Amino acid sequence: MTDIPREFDDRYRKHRERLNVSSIAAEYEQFAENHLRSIRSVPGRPVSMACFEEALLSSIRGDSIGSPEKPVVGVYCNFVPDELIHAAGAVPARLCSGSPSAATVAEEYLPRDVCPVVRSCFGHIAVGAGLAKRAAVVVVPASCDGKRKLPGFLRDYLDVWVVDIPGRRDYATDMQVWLRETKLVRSRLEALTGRRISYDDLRESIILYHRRTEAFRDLVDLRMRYPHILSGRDFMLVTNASFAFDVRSWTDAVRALLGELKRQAQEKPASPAGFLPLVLTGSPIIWPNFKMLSIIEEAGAAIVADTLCSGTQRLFDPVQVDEWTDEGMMRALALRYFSASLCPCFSDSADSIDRVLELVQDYSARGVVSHNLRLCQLIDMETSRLRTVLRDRGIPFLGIHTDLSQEDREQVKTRVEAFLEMIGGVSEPYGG
Amino acid sequence: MSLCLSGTVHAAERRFLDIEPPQKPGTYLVSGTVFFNPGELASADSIRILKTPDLTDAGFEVLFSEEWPGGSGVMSVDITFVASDKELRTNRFILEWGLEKRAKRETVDPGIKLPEVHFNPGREVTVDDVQLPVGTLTVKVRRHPEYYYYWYLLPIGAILGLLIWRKLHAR
Amino acid sequence: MRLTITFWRRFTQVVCFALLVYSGFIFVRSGRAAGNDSRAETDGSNLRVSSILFTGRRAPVIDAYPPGAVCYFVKDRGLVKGCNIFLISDALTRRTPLSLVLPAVLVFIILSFLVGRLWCGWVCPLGAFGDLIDAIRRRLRIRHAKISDGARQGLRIASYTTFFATSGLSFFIGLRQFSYLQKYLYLPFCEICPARLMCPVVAGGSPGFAGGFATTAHCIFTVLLYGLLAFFAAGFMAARRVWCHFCPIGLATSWFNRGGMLELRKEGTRCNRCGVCVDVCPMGCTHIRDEKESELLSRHECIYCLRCVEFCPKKKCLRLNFFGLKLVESWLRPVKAH
Repeated sequence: MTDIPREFDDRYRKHRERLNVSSIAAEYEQFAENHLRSIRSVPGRPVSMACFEEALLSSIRGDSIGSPEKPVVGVYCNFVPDELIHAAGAVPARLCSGSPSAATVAEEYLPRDVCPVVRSCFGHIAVGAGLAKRAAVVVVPASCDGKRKLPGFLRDYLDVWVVDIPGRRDYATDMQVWLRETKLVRSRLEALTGRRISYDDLRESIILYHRRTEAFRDLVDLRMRYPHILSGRDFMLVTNASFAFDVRSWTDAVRALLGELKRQAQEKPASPAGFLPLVLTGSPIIWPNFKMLSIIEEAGAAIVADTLCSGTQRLFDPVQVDEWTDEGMMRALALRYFSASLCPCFSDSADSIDRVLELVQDYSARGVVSHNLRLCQLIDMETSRLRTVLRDRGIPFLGIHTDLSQEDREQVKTRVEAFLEMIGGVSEPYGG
Repeated sequence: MSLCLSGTVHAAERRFLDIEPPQKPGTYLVSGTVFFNPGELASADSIRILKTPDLTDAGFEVLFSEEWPGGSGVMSVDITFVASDKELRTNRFILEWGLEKRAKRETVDPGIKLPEVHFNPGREVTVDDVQLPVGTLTVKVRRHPEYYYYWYLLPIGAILGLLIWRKLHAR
Repeated sequence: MRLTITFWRRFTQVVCFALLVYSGFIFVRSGRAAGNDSRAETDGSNLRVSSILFTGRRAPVIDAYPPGAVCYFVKDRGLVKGCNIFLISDALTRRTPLSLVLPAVLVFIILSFLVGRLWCGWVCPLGAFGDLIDAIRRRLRIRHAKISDGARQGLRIASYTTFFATSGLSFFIGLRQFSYLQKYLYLPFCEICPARLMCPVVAGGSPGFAGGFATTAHCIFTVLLYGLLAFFAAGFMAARRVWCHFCPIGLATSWFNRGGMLELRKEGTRCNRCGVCVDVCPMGCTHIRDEKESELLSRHECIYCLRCVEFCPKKKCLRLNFFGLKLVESWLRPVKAH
């Protein structure tokens, strides 16, 4: 285990020799700014969003976070407790990437037919783009096939910890595994930072992050009452910003946003005419690649709710501590991060599908759109089940197979517009 | 109809056994039941029979004893002992209880067939008798005492039936 | 202090404990001797002394046997007459006339049918005692043991065995030829019951039938009884409400849980199986998480402590229904930073 992060130059020298690193990084930043420009062009956005935009831009630039005393611990997915990392005195940073240029980089090292997100994550680390160059270590949950083999490739660049995810997700048999993995992460964090995570550290972290969840849930509840008050893209900016934003600052920013949105809701309590609420599900949409969101919202619909792991699902579940003992807190962490997860990597899709149904009902959504990244068997199999369930209930469904690249924008736009036209004529909203 | 059970609070722990002396001469088996109030006698081991005038131990046997339900001590003791008609005429027998040690017992040989005499517990020894109502015993006499209350089985059955119906139709 | 469900449950437990165990001191009765009423029934042929129902000491305030370990042996008598095990044992041993048993049974059945094992979670003094020990354990930050499904099933089987053994034994010693055994075996379950040990001690008495330190035998007996009480307290300390899985007093009420008017329901689509409900449940019910087909979650183990409803982070997922009306439901409550 390292105590201090290795310098960027040392780590990535051989790649900087082979790749045009600076141009890739520049392309990445440009891409991010383009997306942000298009989002900012929407009128009537709350001014409090500026905070989140700034945070996201700085994460793209890889502005300084962490220090030798507070190492940056990179994570993927939502299986590693941020509370533990925070309690250890480190900085959690989710390194999931949606950059198409990083994915292209990985083609030299990884097979072509691999999940684009995994390729992009690898490329990100290989190039040292954004926050990746700050990470002292990266924690990879072995959730899907791609992530299972990714650690082997990443070890060339930095330390990797693997977290085992049983596919079964059964409390009686798997709670031991969840607890074991959580404790393993804890002990490795303690070795990384060189100090024990004390009872008070952990408790304070859990309470802090619980307050983060409470703020987020207030935002979600406000959107449930007034779906038009915050666009889907802005909401995803908020959730994506939490990837590497200091937790207190993020919570304060959300509270500020809530205040502003409540005032706006007083003035405009009713949804505008022609408001078309949709639920989004499927593969993660990661900043700055908001292609899918842009297409849908520019076509005139609104993403009012989602089940994306980079969206609502990242922050929705709190860590509910039953007993404030050391064991009790670890159990609560294990449950929230493993048992509450709706990732398609688990064998049973029932809970994910139920979540979509719940959202359709609560938000009176008129349809469901599934954003499937190619080459993901897990999401495809889940989508086929979802399709059947939704058809049985008469809920319109659109499944989009796409990639991280921007080349198929037009085809996707056509399909989305056709779908919206089809459901736009329905007079009765679903659910409610 | 109600009976009033009067108990007597007495200072001494002795009482005479009121025995009707038999007419014919011979040895007799004297037996009877002695009753105690709740809380009066802790154990059937703590009694003995004394014979006047010198208050010696008369060997006796406790055949049976019943306790007050709820643990309030002994309710009744069946005592038997052997005595001749002369003894029964001239001496008096005293029942003493509340003793620390177990008194001398004498088993009566069941092989011997003796004529029997029964006694009742006699009057108390002390002069100062204080009558206290210990409690009221309400006795209901009915020709068929139980049948009237069977109607309770109807609501009991109804609720149980409702319960089972709800269990089967739980969704 | 926030007024959570648990707060109200603790409040109810404290009040009920005070009333049930200390009623002898709270309520003024007309006097010792005058309270010694007895009743009997006969058809006139003979009146057996042993069929006189001697109420002893003071009479209870409420002539009923509600569900829960509302112990008969509380010093100076409590609010109610006793638990259902006492009712059954006593009636079987002394052949209590139906006129006295059937109304008590009806009252018990009605009370159970209305709210099932809510009595166990909110009223039972033994449960309150156990929760107190549990609170001490939490304060000391000692972790508790989780009981396996197999162990829970075993405890339930043992509960049935104890229940029927007690009833059978009580009936047996009521027979004339075996009535001498009543000295030793009257109320057989009460000899080992933790409530029978705890309630008199808490109210200022001693736990044993023949307690005290008069003779060596008494000393040994008293030590064993207090040891038994300590054993039960240790059980509560180690595994929360593990006793309630075994409790024969609660067994009869548990039959009324599913089908009774109080229902714990879950909206399956709203549940993401996060598992918080199972972790907080003092009885270790795993079906709360896993059941998604049926809405009704009430089973024999549930004591309606409502911790699952309190901790469930999803809005409107779990709820408590009474006569079909929703009483409480789950929502994300702010964390208590104590």
